[in-house]
Amino acid sequence: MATTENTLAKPDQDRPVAACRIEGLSHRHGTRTAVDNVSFSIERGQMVALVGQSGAGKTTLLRIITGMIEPSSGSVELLGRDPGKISDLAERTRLVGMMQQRLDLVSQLSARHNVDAGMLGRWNLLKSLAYLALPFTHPPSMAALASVGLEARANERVSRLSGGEQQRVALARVLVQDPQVIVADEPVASLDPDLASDLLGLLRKIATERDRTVIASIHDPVLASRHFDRVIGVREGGVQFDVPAEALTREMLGQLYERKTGNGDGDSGEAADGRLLWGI
Amino acid sequence: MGSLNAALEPVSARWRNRFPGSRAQLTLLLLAAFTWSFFSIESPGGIIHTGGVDALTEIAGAFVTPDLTPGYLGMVIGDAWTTLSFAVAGMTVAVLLGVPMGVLASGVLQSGRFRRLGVMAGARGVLAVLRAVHEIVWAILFVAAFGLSPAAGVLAIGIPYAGIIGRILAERLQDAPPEPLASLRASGASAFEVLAYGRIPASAADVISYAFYRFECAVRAAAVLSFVGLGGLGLRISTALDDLAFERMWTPVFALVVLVVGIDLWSSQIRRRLLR
Repeated sequence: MATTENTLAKPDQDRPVAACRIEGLSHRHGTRTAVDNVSFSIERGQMVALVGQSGAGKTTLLRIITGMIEPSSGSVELLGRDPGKISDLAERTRLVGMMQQRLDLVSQLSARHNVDAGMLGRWNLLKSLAYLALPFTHPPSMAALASVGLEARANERVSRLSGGEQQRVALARVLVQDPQVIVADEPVASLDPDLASDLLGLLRKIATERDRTVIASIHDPVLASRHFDRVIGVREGGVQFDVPAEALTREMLGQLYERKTGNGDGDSGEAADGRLLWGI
Repeated sequence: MGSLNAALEPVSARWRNRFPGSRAQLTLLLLAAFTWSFFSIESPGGIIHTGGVDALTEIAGAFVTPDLTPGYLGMVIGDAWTTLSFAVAGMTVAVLLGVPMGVLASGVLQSGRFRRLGVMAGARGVLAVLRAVHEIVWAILFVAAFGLSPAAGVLAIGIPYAGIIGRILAERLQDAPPEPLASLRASGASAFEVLAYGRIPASAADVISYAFYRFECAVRAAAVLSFVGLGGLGLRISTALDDLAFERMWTPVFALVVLVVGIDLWSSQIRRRLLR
């Protein structure tokens, strides 16, 4: 795996630096407010799930955290630094990495080259072209593929892999990049429950063993409460609740997923979520 | 085709609304112009040559009895080789010149807005000039410049084809799906790495299969260029026609067909492998 020695701020004893500190964050697309005055702070090594309806602003929030989007107002600090202001690519990719949805892989390239792409911030052009064109494999990429159970399919084109396999390739890419803060947008959305648990277990192992922080949007509240330390409910761009996973209740989720108009819709939404929540 | 129609639909609908009935009127106008053109051609004895039917019958009769004597066949195979060599050399020039120009014309490597627009406009302008002039015109120019040398034939094919390949490549590179590219940038890829890991893989299959189609065109062009005096299948066809030896004309025509079909088979095999 890539070296973890770098110049990132270490938590000192007087005032520990949060892995992720967000203050008064807002973002507007034109007239629509995608993220509305969000503030929270996440400790190192924590796994935090964002839950909420699609369109609630989770993806935008995650993209702001990685520095891909500049927020309209407010601040983001990852280990004391604003990711949007780090111009050195190698340094930024060691600080934060985003696991994208599977649509964001290059479908014409093999699985292992898609994983190699996690190294592009640290490789110079010659090295990246050599790994692309020559038949040598990059051992950490192969190890990352092995850890998601895909080493046998390393040379397969991504377009020939199933949805779940593609998602695992995306996870392997972020594993090989090995950032301090792993941001994941629906990392297990198209996986069957066993595989989803395996992969979230893998993220947990990395978070614990290497003291990495994981922030992920999760579709399924059951998985969120089982595998994460803390669950943040996002609704209409704002934080509706922010609780330890074990304190999550049906009522919170019912309100989070409640439809905007009409009480009847809200009731049926709650019933549907109640079924989902048998597992808690 | 379906998506093309869908893309054109709103525009044509807008035009229809603005000029009701204009499509029928335009059709009538064009038909009238077409009919009139027949009567406007000044030609002694009309445009249909009465002796033509006899000549056509003779040519068609020779179709089934091409000259396949070993001596002549050997010459035709040699000509086919010459034509193929011109086509391959011409395509090599086209790719070597067209690919870098196409990358520049796509503007994907420049980050500054003004610099990108400048480089794009410059490269697109050069590509437009290259492909605006037909290969035969280039051939006449180069033959005038350095006489009947192979270089004239190779450049005559390579230069306009570089313009075409560069343009297609530029468009495909620009049209690569944006999500994977954004993801590569988020992993810290430079513009050149995004090109190598994202844009080129996404456009390779299309561009390569188009280049193969162009290779077929290059074989045809090389045959035609041999009329200009560069040797090859076209010269053989024209010599046979001058002698009214139609059996001898069909042999190089068939050789041309064999070349084109061969390239077609090869390209579909490669395309299948690329898309697999």
